[in-house]
Amino acid sequence: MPFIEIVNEDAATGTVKDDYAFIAGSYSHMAQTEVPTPQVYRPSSLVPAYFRFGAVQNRVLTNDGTHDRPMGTIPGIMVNFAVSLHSACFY
Amino acid sequence: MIYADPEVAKAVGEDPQSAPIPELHKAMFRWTELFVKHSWDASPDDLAELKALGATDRDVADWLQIACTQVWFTSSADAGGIPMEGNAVTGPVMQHPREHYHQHVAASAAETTPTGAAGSEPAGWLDAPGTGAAFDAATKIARTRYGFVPNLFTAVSACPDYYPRHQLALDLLETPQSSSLGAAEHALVRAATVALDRCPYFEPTARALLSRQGDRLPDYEALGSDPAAAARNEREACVLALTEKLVRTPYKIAEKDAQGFRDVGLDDAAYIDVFNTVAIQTSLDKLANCVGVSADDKPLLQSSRSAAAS
Repeated sequence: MPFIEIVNEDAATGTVKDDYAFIAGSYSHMAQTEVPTPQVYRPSSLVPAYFRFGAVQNRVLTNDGTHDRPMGTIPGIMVNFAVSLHSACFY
Repeated sequence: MIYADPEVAKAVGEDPQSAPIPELHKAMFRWTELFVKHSWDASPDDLAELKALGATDRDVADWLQIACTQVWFTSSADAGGIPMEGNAVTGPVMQHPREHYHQHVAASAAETTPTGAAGSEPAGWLDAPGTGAAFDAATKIARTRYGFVPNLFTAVSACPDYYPRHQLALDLLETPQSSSLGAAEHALVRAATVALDRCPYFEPTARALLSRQGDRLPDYEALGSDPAAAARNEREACVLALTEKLVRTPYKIAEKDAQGFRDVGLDDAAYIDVFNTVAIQTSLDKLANCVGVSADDKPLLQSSRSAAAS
């Protein structure tokens, strides 16, 4: 169970509701099937400004949800994984 | 799937340096470990090694930015205590629970003197064009906010996609985003994070934020040594204890840390405010340390808003 109160998408209003829709849409586009907003964004859902920050992070990482950023010498997702590995944090 | 062979993927998850993967991949894993655990030891040689193995300047600029953003995600996961996703992006590497990997992680802030060259170059260690529509737009906003273009913005101009994230980060770091966390408490969290990260770039900003809260706040050096011990009261001690844990050993955060906030009269919004302040600040600290950028001539604070907070 999360350590703090979470506002899930069915209870969200305003910008949090909008950001839930964007994030879920972004991951659904990547997965090519409908998926909910991942858990990692939810801890900030009680404070809209920080939930918005999570959504902005997704935007810059995915070219606004399109997932068509040019790939470099190593896929960017490997860097994400490497940070998780060295942080002992897989989510 | 990055490594199609599940045995290779498993080996990478255990120890990338022993896995049968290209040398550039191993170098990236070594560099990322530096980024996460002791960014203050970064030097131009670290980036030179990556480029010597085939990474381009654009690659390295991109990896810096990705690593910066990922620090917020891992901090959010650890601080929030979220359940694991059913379908991890990492695929077959995820054969263990999260706790399995804790044994491979040492505390991120060892008691050593920095040996790198963090904060040594006004424009950082990468080729920084400082041009283009995205750079111009970002710097126009920055001039409005601060009256100057931050060195950090120039240093990462090879990969301008992330400016919206960084500007929003800096905006959020100016003041508390919850009504329950006080301005002084927020300044202490931010300053302690910068001090623990040993970040020369943000140190003047952190010191300025502290001084604007009043002259009875714990000093910057004390916050970088033993933050909770420097606290003036129970609430500050609780807030600073979480700050230190999230910077040094985030994988040790437990439900009792969130309960501790409630026990001293702080609510979940304040807890979220603290962990986000730490997560965002530490992500920028690591970025600044690993790109080698030196501090600006003035604190990176919006003068009118920061004066109002004092």
